[in-house]
Amino acid sequence: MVSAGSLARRETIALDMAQQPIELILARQLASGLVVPVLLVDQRGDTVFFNEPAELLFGRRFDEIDLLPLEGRTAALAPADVEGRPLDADHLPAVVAMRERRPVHTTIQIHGPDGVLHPVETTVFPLESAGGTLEGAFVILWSTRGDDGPGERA
Amino acid sequence: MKVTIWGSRGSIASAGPETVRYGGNTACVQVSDGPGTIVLLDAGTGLRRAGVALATTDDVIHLLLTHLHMDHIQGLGFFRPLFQDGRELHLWGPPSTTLDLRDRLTRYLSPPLFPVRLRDLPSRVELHDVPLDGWSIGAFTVRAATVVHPGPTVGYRIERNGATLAYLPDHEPALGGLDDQPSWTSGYDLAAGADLLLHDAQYTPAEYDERVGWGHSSVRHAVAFADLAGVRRLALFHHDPDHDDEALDRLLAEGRSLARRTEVVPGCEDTALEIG
Repeated sequence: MVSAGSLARRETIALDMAQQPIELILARQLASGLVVPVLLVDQRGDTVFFNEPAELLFGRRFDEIDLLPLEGRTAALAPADVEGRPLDADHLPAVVAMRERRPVHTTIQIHGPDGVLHPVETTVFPLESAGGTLEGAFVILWSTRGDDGPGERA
Repeated sequence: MKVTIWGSRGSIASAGPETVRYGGNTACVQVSDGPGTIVLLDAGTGLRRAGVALATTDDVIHLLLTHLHMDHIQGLGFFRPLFQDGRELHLWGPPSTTLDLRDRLTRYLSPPLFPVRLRDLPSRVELHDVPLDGWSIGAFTVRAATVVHPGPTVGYRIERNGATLAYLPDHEPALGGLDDQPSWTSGYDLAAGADLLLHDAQYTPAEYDERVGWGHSSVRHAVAFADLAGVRRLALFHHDPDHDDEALDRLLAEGRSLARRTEVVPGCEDTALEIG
């Protein structure tokens, strides 16, 4: 089993390279054209990109930051499960998807810029290259039916 | 390091009086640094003439394929060293998640597309999936990385004694975003600081607009990529088969006018470039 901690130990591989893996580059291009909020995380779980719809969730533009570390994203969104219990890093959908190399679809709650908890359906699939290297994950955050979403209220 | 261009055309060979200066053979480049080991990049129709020259030597030949589109492998069946008894050759190609390199090449090197099967060749051919973490070929240090182009495709970076060649003949960095962000630019690590970059420059900007996603670059994109990567010299490569010598002269002039730091040179067949 891979934990967030062991994912973190692999970061030196990515950080030593000036260029993102081609899978992340192409995923960013796809995410840029989608209407749903999308985050791209690297193999450590750090957010390396989010699209304009996701900017509403974070309350800030991606161009204002270079990278949002896993810890920073966790602090900003304060994710919780459907019962409102805080999710630690090892149980975040993206971390689970990369650790277990499988898609994850689940409902969580996140704090928007309005400070209110909002339910979001989260779909994550890991990005594994042809050579078998885990490069990161593609994270889609869907506002659940009946909720205006944190962005709309922000 | 001596870099010899045996073919620089893209898509399909285009011999004729209108292409004599830039050449009509498809991609094939030879890299050498004294006797012993020869590195060839791609097996387009230019490989035939390379084979005529190399058949008189006993150098070990390493043929590095960027991908298996026809304009990059068509010369294989006419490469004289493949038909020399006992000649040692190594074929390197991009890894695939489904078929190995032999199975994929056999689709071409077998009837009905070609009369001779790969397994019937008298030479000693070894096939290798390209490792994506670098390796050595003789005195050369080679690195490969996947790049933006349809299908499994790699580019190469070859170093020797402080001289660096980058080879990205089929590459569309603009598809991933070519906006002064090295970390989000396909191929950047391969080309960074290279003495010479052979790069896809197939289209005019107007042609590119009609062919986004086809896996190729405009001259403008090639120059922007080379400038971003801090390349010393850019040779325009993978010329469109419909571009005659005069059209390529105009593209060269456009490239030179756009370049901020990179020296732009024509990628002409039969050209030998020294680096290092």
